[in-house]
Amino acid sequence: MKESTISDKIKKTLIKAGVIAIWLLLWQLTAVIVGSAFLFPPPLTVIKRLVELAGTPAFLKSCSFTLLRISAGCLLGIIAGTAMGIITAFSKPLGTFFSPALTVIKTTPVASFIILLLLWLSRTGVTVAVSCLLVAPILWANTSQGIHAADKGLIEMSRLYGFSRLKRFANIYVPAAMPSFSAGVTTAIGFAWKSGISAEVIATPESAIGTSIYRAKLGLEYTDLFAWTLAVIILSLLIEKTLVFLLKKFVFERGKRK
Amino acid sequence: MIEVKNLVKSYGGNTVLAGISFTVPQSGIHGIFGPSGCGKTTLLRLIAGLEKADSGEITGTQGKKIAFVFQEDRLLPSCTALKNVSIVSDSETALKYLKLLHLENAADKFPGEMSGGMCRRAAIARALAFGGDILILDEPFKGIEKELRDEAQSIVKEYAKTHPVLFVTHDEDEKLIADSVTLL
Repeated sequence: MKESTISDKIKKTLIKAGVIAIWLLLWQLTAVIVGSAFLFPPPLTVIKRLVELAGTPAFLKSCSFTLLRISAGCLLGIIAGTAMGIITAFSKPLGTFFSPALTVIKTTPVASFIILLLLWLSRTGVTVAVSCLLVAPILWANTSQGIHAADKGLIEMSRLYGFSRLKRFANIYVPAAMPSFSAGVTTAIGFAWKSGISAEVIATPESAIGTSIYRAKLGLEYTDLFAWTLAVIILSLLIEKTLVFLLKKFVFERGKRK
Repeated sequence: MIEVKNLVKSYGGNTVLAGISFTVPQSGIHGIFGPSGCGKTTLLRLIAGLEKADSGEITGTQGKKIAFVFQEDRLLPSCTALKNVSIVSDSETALKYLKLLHLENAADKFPGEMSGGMCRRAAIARALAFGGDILILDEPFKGIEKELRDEAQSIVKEYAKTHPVLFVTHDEDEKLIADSVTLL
């Protein structure tokens, strides 16, 4: 690796750390202005509480189950959304037919979904289903958009050279859709966490971060509420960064330009 | 033999080809020359069946495999040079043409990692490896340096001994490789 690249990386990391430090300072300042650690705990108190909670088996169990539910919902949403994106991109009549469904899913408030699904599903199932429902439209739209963006010249070339449908799909449509798909996946992870935790707060399943947030709110333990929220942010970021790393390594390394 | 009879093609009221007729021999390089915008590329596209003529007839292309070097390279950006050629043939034939066009060392490179001339040669290698009954070349040697261009032309000439080759260029030197000509 070139020296300039290393120094650029260090510079970027320092800038990022500086920005985080400024925000923590602003948080601390707000806590001082509010003047009540009970209503608005300062960052150090929250971090300390998070460390305390992290040492308990209940914390690990809640995090693991929430992670599992949200990941399952997210994965199902990615699969379903991508499949629908592919189907509707290649079939105009199906695209027209499913378009109202996509609009309804996109515009319905998450709370309405959660309450409705609570009538039909178990408390655990609601988290999975809600995450899935929020993720699917994003992947649906992004995959379809990516496929439509495929180079028309390449498609014409593939027809002339007699590519099979599978060959054309794998070598033209998939690479064309990949940037849009990857962007959709990273956006979807954030949505999956937001909607999944909301579902847990309302459905209160056993061993769940959302349920712990709900209990903290009931018991007026705002430090706990902040600490659990911080745990959600850390977990969501970890998953997103890991996925971005994997996508960069295995998808964008191929066909890179100088 | 390919026969083009009274071919007419217009785009939105603008007539690009107005009753073109000519014959392309069974083998040899047939040059289609003329000023920019006179419809050379349109004519090649009509012969390849990529577009439909408003009227007129093209015979001798039905059911034939047509290889086309487009004005743009149209290489698959996510595939290596070797994959771009072997996708229309077997690996052995692909390697043979990559070697003939001096691209054996670039076989593992992606189009984004190759120069313009290398991409052009890869596009020619793909067309030759496809083994089409008819070869269509739209400014195929653009951007290829002199020495390599001469070699690429020799390979095309060799191919033209057994196949009809239709060829468009603006380069006066390149025009000399044509065995027969249609002026538009």
